[in-house]
Amino acid sequence: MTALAVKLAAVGKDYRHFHLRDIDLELEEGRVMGFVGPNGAGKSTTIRILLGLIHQDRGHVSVLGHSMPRDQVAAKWDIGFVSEDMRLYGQATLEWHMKLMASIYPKWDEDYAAQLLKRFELRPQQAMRRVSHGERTKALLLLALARRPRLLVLDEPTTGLDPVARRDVLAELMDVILDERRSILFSSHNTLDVEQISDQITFIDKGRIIRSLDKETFLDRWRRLRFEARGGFSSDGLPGIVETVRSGQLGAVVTDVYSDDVVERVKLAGAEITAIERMTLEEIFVANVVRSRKEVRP
Amino acid sequence: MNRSLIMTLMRKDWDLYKRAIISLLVLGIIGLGIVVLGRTQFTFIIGGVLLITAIIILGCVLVQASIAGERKEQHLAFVMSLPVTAREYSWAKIIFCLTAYSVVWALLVAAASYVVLGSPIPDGMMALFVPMFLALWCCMALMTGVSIVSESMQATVIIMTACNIGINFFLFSIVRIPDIGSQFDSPTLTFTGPIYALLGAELLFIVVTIGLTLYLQCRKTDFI
Repeated sequence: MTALAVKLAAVGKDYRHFHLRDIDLELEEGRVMGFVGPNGAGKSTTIRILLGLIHQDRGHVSVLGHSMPRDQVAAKWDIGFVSEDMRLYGQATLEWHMKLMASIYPKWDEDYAAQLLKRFELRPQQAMRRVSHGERTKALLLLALARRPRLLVLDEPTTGLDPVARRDVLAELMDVILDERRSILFSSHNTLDVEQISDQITFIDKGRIIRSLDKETFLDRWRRLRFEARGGFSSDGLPGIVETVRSGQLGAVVTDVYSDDVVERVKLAGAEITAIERMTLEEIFVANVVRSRKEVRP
Repeated sequence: MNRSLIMTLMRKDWDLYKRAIISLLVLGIIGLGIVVLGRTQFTFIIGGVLLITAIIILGCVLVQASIAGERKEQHLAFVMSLPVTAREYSWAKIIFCLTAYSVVWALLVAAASYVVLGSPIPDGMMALFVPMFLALWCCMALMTGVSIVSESMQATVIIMTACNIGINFFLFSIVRIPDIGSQFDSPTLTFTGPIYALLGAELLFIVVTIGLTLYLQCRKTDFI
């Protein structure tokens, strides 16, 4: 059985205007989880709970075998954390920050840090207040990666990056993934980034986990079936149909359990299938959120 | 308690704020120099004001930059990603701010006392100076505590303003205490019961403020 890097069981947190409800999350060692949700869905709160920065009101959190928040210090030695709203000290240089990290982490890898400096085209002598958003994100990533963490937690790291900086960051993360023992939790509302590097996807909305599966399973199960229906066609009561859109005789149904049987059932209901399309992760994500909101508030 | 990490966080703050701390120490020394070299009532007032201003600004800079500023400028997520608990972080902040303040404060107060006791200025003035300098320390403890517990720049600025106004009221109040006011022209200094009581109350205030700060920090469940 593969060890778990992160395990959240029935975790809840109550605020006046927001509730995190029954969060169950498991990330195996060496895996990359994309944690996707709209703004305000609860991604950052969940991440801060698993780092011990916010204490859960209910449930159990275990990170790298340590119970959180009680054993957060022991866990944090092996966690690299980067978030979009994280800032380095503006009056200090990157070199100063690197020395600080080196003085704290015995596993700090000078050679790797030098490699990353070169790869990210960062200048160690530059004061952090003078760097761009992209350079700041790369600097944060460098500081997190060169400490050689077993778990990398990234909270919206690519938000606001220009396409070139985003490519650099994602490329480095792809390299990191090659280390099979390192786990990554990557939160974002940008499904394109998540799709590139994740092998497991979890959707969260309004403080609830709405779906958590392997990326390939998601992409294999979801399909859009375009059809033409001259007579009466209704998808009501058809199992496995998540969404139906019609415009005159043309229409499309979305299924989350794609198989030949589903296609047959749609045909039998009076539709002529004209195309079967794979869906992007973004489309799957939006369909999941819409369905979840309907279920919560019918 | 992770002592080495607390020390590292304190060294980090020293690295970041040492220029401001040393500059304000120098400003205080300049104020004392004016008192010593001027030898007139005017230069005594100017130098004294400069000295007190340096001590007050030092407290404000330490609290505003290293505590409230760290949260406002979003450095906290970076610091808290290090292997440290919120409680240890609070300890590091309290120890750093109060130690940095104490060192500068003690140097300037010792030098000021030496100047007063070794010059024609009546030694009885020390009956005013000692509670006043300790009141500045009370303000520092209060500002540190409020800034850490409130996690708010607004609250920090409000308490700083209140302390700076309050210190003037405090001075006006204590000169009316007969045991203090009557000594201004006295060539000898006498610590009487009311002065000891005042100093005791100030020390108690400092201890309670720091204790309460740590107690409230330990009870927090959401730190960032």
